[in-house]
Amino acid sequence: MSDGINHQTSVDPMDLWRQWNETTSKMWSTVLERGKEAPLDPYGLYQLWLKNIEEAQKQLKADPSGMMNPLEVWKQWFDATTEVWSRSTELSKDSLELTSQWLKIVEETRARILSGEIRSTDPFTLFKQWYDATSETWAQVVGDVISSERFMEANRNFIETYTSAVRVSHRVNEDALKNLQIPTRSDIARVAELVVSLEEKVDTIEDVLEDFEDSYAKVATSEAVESLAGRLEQVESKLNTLDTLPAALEKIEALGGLEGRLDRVESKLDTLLLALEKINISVPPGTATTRSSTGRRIQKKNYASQGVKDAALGIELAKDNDE
Amino acid sequence: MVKEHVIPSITDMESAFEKYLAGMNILLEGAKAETGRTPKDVIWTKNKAKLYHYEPTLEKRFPVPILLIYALINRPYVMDLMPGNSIVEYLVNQGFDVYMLDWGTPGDEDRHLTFEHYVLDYIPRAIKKVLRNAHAEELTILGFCMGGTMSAMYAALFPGKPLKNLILLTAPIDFTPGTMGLYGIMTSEKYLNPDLLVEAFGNVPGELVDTGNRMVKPVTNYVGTYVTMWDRIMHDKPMETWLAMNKWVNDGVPFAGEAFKQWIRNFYQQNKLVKGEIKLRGRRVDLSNITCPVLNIAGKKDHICTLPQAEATMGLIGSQDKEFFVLDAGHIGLLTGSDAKKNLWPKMRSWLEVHSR
Repeated sequence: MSDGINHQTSVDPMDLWRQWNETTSKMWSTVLERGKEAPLDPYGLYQLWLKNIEEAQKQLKADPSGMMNPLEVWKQWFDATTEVWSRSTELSKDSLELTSQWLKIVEETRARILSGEIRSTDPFTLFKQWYDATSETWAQVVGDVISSERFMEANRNFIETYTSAVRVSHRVNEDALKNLQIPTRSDIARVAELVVSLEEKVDTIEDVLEDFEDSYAKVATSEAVESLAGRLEQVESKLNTLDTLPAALEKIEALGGLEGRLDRVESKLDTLLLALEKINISVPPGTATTRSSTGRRIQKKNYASQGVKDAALGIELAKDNDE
Repeated sequence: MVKEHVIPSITDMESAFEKYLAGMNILLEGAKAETGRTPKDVIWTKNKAKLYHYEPTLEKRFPVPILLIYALINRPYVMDLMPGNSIVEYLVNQGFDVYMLDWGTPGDEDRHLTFEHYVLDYIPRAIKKVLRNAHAEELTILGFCMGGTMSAMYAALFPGKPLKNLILLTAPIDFTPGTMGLYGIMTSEKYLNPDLLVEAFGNVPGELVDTGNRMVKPVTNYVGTYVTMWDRIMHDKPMETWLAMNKWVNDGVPFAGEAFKQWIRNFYQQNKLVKGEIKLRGRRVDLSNITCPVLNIAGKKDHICTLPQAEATMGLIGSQDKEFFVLDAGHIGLLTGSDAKKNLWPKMRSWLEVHSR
């Protein structure tokens, strides 16, 4: 069998846990019983705890083969703990109901351990199993405490006190730093505000320029410029054809003038014809031949007058052409 | 019953020690991971905000680009967490033209920023840039969480072109008391005065907002996360996703002061949005003006945007083509992870394929 040294180095952690909890529970029961055994002083509690630890160590050395069934160890521990916490619930005011809630957790955990749900000896795995087994209840307990009126009131008071202290501290620091001519956070913040305002203006200008660019202006590409140049050339060539316009306009004006002249010539010829007709009428009868000759003469004169007309027209036209 | 204890070998002890060191490094120095790795270009900036255009991997199949709008809390790279676990990467690989508006990190000079600035200045400007870059006339907005709330307000104020489609991803719209869980109690007028925080800090620190979020599920967030970490380390399970998520969770940004006051007072405490009492620069936000097709997505286990908060949107908008899609997941779980790949992403793709032509 293993000697005492081996067992001391490979002591069952469950047993140690049991010893520690018994010691602790004794300490708490002493406190909660209002120090029936001894006056309540911090050193007294510590000494009681040390005393119980020494007793546990003696028991361990005396009983090196004390390798109890872990479940039995747990059972003993839970029995001791629940007994202590039950007594404390009865004795104390337990305004936040922490004690009774803690007792509920302990009892629930006992059930799980004794059923074998938590059984590992690896400390990390044990811790995780413990957490998985108890976290829901823990969360419920803590949630109930946090949502209680007492807790929220205390929290509100704390916020008021703390923020008040922070305000005073900031004010004192600001004044001290100002006296030392050292820039403070508020000084830097003021400068930063100016920079932010400037950036705001630049951003607004950028926004306006982008709107303008997207809505109206297009970038003038070389293709666009060349196309515009081509269109300008076409317009110029069309304008060039309009140089003959004045001459054409003059001809139109000349024609208009000619028309007037023609009208005058016609009126003159009409006057001449009238005169010739009067002459014809004044010629005596018997002169049929005369008449006929007169007719021939008149016809000749008609031809002549036509010729005169034509000649007159030609002279006038020639004159106009010369002019 | 005598239990025999196996004495660990030197190798086992060395291995255990190395794992212990790895875990302690993470706890002390924070999770380190490469996130947001989908290739992208910055096509526009305004103050701290940046507009990203993700480089296409395929020829564009759909003419309607998608603009992702994230919340003012935490960083948007949760939507592009890591290769293989990124909704951005997924959409890009499906042939969509994807953009994202990253609000950046507000400085002290930004403490006066309000929802008016975000909804009436930043979002419209970003939309114009998206349309210009994509040579498109219409776009789809996908808003996540508070980004969805802002997207809904924008859609209500500017219905019609260029907004073609609206996707709301766990977007809280209704803040009726009793429907918000612990969040509603923590932010109620009785217990939280946002003016105190803003007067003290200017911009509300990211750590404070993060603490508030974690206190909704403290055991899970403060204990469970690290139980999972140690379990994964000790049993040699992959750590990449855990590291990326833990990095994101701890990477909060300050919340611009005035916007924080509006968010708590007008939304959480007075529920003005559903009552039609929100006014942005004098313009009343009426959700019934939203007429474009809407895909509204929520998670049953979401404790930040509860189911009723998102579902209320369906009865308020004026769209004929609207769908409410529920997943059995939490706030972030429905966006990333194996369930998201099986459920949310294909659903989003199929809906977008129909509505992006």
